[in-house]
This record gives sequence, C-alpha cells and structure tokens, in this order.
Amino acid sequence: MRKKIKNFWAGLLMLAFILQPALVSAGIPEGATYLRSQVDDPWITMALKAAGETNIPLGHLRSVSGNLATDYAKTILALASVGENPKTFSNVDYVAKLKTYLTDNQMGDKNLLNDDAWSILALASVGEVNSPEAAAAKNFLLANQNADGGWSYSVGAGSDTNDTAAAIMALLEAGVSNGNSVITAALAYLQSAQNIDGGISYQLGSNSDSGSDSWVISALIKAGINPSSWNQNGNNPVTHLQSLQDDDGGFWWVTPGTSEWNNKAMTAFAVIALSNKTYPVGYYQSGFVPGTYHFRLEGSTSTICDTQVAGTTALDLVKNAASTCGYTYTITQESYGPYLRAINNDQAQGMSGWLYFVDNISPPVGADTYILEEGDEVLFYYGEWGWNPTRLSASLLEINPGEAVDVSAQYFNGTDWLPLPNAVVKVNEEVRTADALGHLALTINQNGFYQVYVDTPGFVRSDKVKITVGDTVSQEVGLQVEVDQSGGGNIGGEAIALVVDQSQLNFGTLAPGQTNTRVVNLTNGGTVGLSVGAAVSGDVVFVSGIKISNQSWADYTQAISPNESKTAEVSLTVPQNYLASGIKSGELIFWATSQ
Amino acid sequence: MANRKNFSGLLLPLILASLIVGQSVQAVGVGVKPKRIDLQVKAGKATNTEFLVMNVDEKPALYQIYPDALEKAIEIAPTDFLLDAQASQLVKVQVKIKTPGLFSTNISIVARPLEASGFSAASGIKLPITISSSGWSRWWLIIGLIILLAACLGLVFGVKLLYKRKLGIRR
Repeated sequence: MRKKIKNFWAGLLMLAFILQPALVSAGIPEGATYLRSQVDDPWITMALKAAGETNIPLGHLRSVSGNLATDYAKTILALASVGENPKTFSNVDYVAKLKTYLTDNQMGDKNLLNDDAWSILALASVGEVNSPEAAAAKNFLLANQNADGGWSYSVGAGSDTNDTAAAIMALLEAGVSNGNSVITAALAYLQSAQNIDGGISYQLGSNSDSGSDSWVISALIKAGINPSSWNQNGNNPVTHLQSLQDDDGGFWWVTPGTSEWNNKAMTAFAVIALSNKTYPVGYYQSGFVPGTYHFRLEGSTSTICDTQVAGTTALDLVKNAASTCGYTYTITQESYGPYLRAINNDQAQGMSGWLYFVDNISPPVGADTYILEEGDEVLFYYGEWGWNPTRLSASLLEINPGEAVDVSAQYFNGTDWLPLPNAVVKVNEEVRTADALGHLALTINQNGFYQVYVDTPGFVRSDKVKITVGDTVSQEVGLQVEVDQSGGGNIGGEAIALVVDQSQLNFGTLAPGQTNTRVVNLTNGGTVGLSVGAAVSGDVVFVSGIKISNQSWADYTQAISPNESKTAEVSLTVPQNYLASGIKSGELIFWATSQ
Repeated sequence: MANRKNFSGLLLPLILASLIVGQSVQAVGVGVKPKRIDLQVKAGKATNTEFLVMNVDEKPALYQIYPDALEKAIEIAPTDFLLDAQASQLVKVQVKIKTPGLFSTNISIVARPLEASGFSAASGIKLPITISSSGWSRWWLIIGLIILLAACLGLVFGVKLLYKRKLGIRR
C-alpha cells in the first residue's frame, strides 16, 4: 500500500514537472489579445513578440522623440525584439540618440538609476554592451547598490523590487556573473520582498502586485533561477501572477477586490514574464552574426574601412575586410612573427606604423595572437605609438539651418574618457577648432548631411557622427514627422500640475477615539492657479474619520498659485464606535482644477 | 455564552485599529496639458482630440484616466499606464454625441504610487471638457420628416384636386 502511495506521489510529481511549461504558458494568448486592444507602446511590442505573435504594429516606433534616456532605451529594446535595426528603422538613429545621454559618467539623469539599467539593456540589444556608455552606466549602478542588496529608482533612496530586477538584468548583460556577490545580494533582497501569497511586493511590507511579480520573474529567468522554485506555502511568483489574469486576458495590478483603483497597466510585463522571457526580449543583429566583429581602419589621411567582419584574431580582420573595403595590405614574416607593414600607401617607416586597439585599449600582444571575444571592437590606425583614440558626441543629430549643436571631443587615456582641449574637428572636410574643454558650438547654415569627427594631430581619428541639417531628412527616406510629446504640436498652452509630497500616510496604531495627524505638502508645478479639493475612499475608518486642515475632507478647498506650495494637515480620528481592527487601506486623492 | 461575553469584554478595550502602512515617503505628481478642452462637434459624428499627461515627479507612478460623466460618449485611450519620472504620455479622446447641445464634465487623471498597501495619498487633476454639439436632434428630424411627408401628401392631393376640377370644366 505504501509503495502504491509512494508511486502515486512520484507520478504526480513527474506529471507536474512535465506539465510545468504548459502551465506557465497558460494565459499568454489571452494576454496578447488584450494587449492588441490597447494603445501601442514599446512594452506592448515586446510583449507581443514574447508571446510569439506576428504582424506586430510598429508604426508607433517611427520618429520617436523623447526627453528621457528611457524613451530611447525602450524604443531600441522594442525594435531589437522584432528584429528591426534601431539605428535605421526611423529617420532617427535611436542608438546615437541614447548615447547623447552620457553625462557625468552615467546615463541620463544623474539622480536616477533606472535609466542606467535600461540604457545598458538597450545597448546590449544592439550589440553595444561594451560601449563607453554602457560601461559608465554599469559602474554607476555598481556604485549605487544599497546595503540591503537592492537598488532604488533614484540615487540614495530605498530599494524597490522593480528597479532591483532591472539592475540585475542589466548587470548580468554587462558581464557581471550570476555568482557575483553583487547579484546574489540583490537576489536575496528580492526574495525578502516575497509575500506569503507567493507574489512580490514593490517595497518590503507592501502587497504583492503583478508589476513586481513580472519584473522579478524576468530577472530570475535571466539569473538562471526557476521562478516557480521561490515557493511560499505552495505559492510562487508565477502562480500569483497567473491568479491576477482577468477573463479579457489582461492582468490586474493587485488582487481584484482589494483595491478600488485596480488597473491592468502591467499586462505587457506579465505577458513577457509568463512567456519565460527576460530583457532584452530580443537582439538586433545587423551582420552581427556570431564570430564577426566591428572593424575600423584609420589611414594617414582618411578612414579606409568601417565594417563588420569575421575572424579569429585581430590580424585576421585586416585580411578578411580587404575585399569588402577595397584596400591592399602587406604582412611580412619577421623573427618575432607577422608584421603589418602597409595598407594601401601607408607604409611603416620611421616612428610611424600600423598599431591597433581592442575596445580602445592597446593589447599587450601582437594582433596575430590576440584572440577575439564576442563584442570586441577593433581599431587599426596609422600613426605613432602612444596616440590615444578619440570620440565625438553631438547634442543634436538633426538640426535646422542656422541652429547650433554642441559638439564634444574626448580622448581615452586607457581608463577614462577626458575632454580633448583645442581638438581639431572636421565637418566634412572643413576644419573647426574646439575650446579648451573640447567643446564646439557648431552652426551649419546649408541643408545636407555632414560627417563630423575629431582629427587632431597626435590622436587617432574618431568615428564619424552624421548630422542632418534641414529638411534633408524628408529627402532621404520618405516623409518624417517628429511627435513632440514635451508640449509642442496641438498640445500647447498652459499646464495644470499638482505634486503631493507623500504618497503613503502612516497614522500608526490607533485605538478608537484616538487621533493622529500627518502633514502633506501640495505644490502647484503648473502655469495656472489651482483650486484643490479632496476625496477619500476605501475603509470606513478613513471615509468617516479623515479631516483635512480641521474640516471635513469633503469641504476642504485650497487655492494654490503657480510654483507655490501649501500644507494640508491630514488627521485621522478612529470613531468611538469602530469595531474592526487590523491594517486598513484607503485612498486620499487631492483633486486639482484650474482656477 | 459566558465565554463570548468575556471575549467581548477583553476585545473592547483591545480594539485597536492597526493602521500600519508602508514606511517610505514618496511623492506623487501629475501634470496635464492643456488646462481645459473645448470641442465643437457635429451630432452623431466622432471628433478626436488629445491631451498630454506628465509625471512631474521624480518617481514612477501609475496613471488612471476616466470621464466623470458621458462615459458612453467619451472614449479615452490609454486609460491606465505607468509613467517614469518626468515622462509623458499622449492620451487620445474620441467624442461622439448623438444629440445637439452643450455638455460639460471633467476628465479625471489620477497619479498613484506603485506601492499597493495602506492608506495612500494620490494626486489628481480634473480636466474640464465642454462639448458643443450642433446639428438636428433626432426629434426635430422626425418632426421635419412628418412635416415634409404631410407637405408632399398635400401637394399630391392638391394636384389631384386641381386635375379633377380641370376635367370637370372640360366636360
């Protein structure tokens, strides 16, 4: 009998193991159906791809104009996921746009961390995880890990699971191993945020939600951990997330009935997670077939070659790119090994010869013995030993005639990118000179395409940055429209804005009859005067017990001028006849209308 | 019963409303452009407009948008979305009103924190929307059709009568 019971359980376990992928995939087609009924955005694109859908709408990814690094990062990730080239899909090179957000050795806003994580993931999706921008973002993330192992959305703030999951995925993508203490500490933080229902909370102590479940599931998959193995009383993040799916395929944010402001905004993240996908959802490979490398050849007077080519050693690339780029080369066999003596008419003589960098660093071995690794970028130049590689960045890649663009020239000293004082900058063949900090305010009056690069004596010529001036954009590839979501177009005029400085009001533990007060600051961040009122919903203890500035919340009004802040004293008195106990939830909305 | 009384006696002094919520202090903000929407529409025809929702704070937040009234006439997309700090989302509004008249309500835009527990404070904006719908109302159309029909019948009847009289004169 015992044996039979044992066999039964063993069989059941085996069946569960076999069925696990099917169970995990449950609900994905329905989720995709729900997403198709929504307004397209990059996350929905990634989710549809993750769900195995075809005919995915991409129109919304054309001519994106953002004001945040993440605007470009998520666009790049979406395009890479569907196999489109983010550099050429639109008339805008989104990768170049993203790279312009490198400031103060990090990506985007120096007060934020999420833009660093997503920049790494976006650059990784186009094979540029070893770029200086990704490296800077990686170092910034590493320097800002909290003591509890997690990361916050912003520098110096408390950890949250969503941004910790994003940071884990980014660092793994950037080459940090999943056994590294940085990752193991972060995973421990995520596990500490798991609730008894198996789900994950946004921050320790809050309720499980589908967004947190989704991000953490994707991070665990990337770290090689089965999300279903994070078991709590028979529940895990996957089962919790699945429990939030509605009949229409959408995923509720939290358990229905627990929040009256529930919504399905997290559905795209849920579909990606339940499809067993992580970030990037896909990689764009433009000639980036495995075993090929970016190769650039800078001659004495011009760039000879800039391509992607296969090879085993750095010297192989010189040989293998010759027919593609149309140059001749001479390699002689010397006592110490092969020697690259000439390319075209640039022959080694005197102090000048052919030297090379891999990822801007001079390897300690000859080019014939340097074994290439995935993502390596190889640069050969004709010049002298000790010359440093340079690069150029531009604040804008598309300008109107007469509009100024800020161009910055830098050189790499082996560890850091530094300003190149008085750099010689070439605009096509016209010579300009940067200031002592390597900056140049460049104004171009004629429509056209301009190749801008650093060509300073004693330094290696930089890669070229293409700046488009005027309506040449339309002449190049059809028509272009730039959607300006920062306030242009027909969304002009004045703005209403209200900021409430505290989103959680903790009144502590109160007995019936007791009162506690919290002060909330309300700031008018818009351009028009505001009239602010309030509405309270949720548990009756709040609806009947909340007062604002000593009056019933229903009667509360407050006028606030633009850029002015006003305080509101929110007090809670637990009614004497209140019989319930425990943690109660509710919501206070400060409603603003323009005066 | 005695036990229950004792329990109630113990319970009453111990009724503590433990209103423990999250410990973090996080701001939440919302901005909207323009400050109001005024639409001139034709009754029965769909008219589209849009407005911009901005996260004016330094933290991501969840945004929800809905009309306070005229739910069948005002369609909004998207209604729920997540916005990063300082990010914005263009929201499309389609208005289709069947009858002429002047209609006024608000579009509510609420920004909520990502944490899902306790007593939360949210930031909201009421965006006034007025819709001036012109055209013939259904009743006026029906009355007009009846009048037109009556006029046609009268005309036919009149012509017939005139024809009969002419025939009478000839005889």
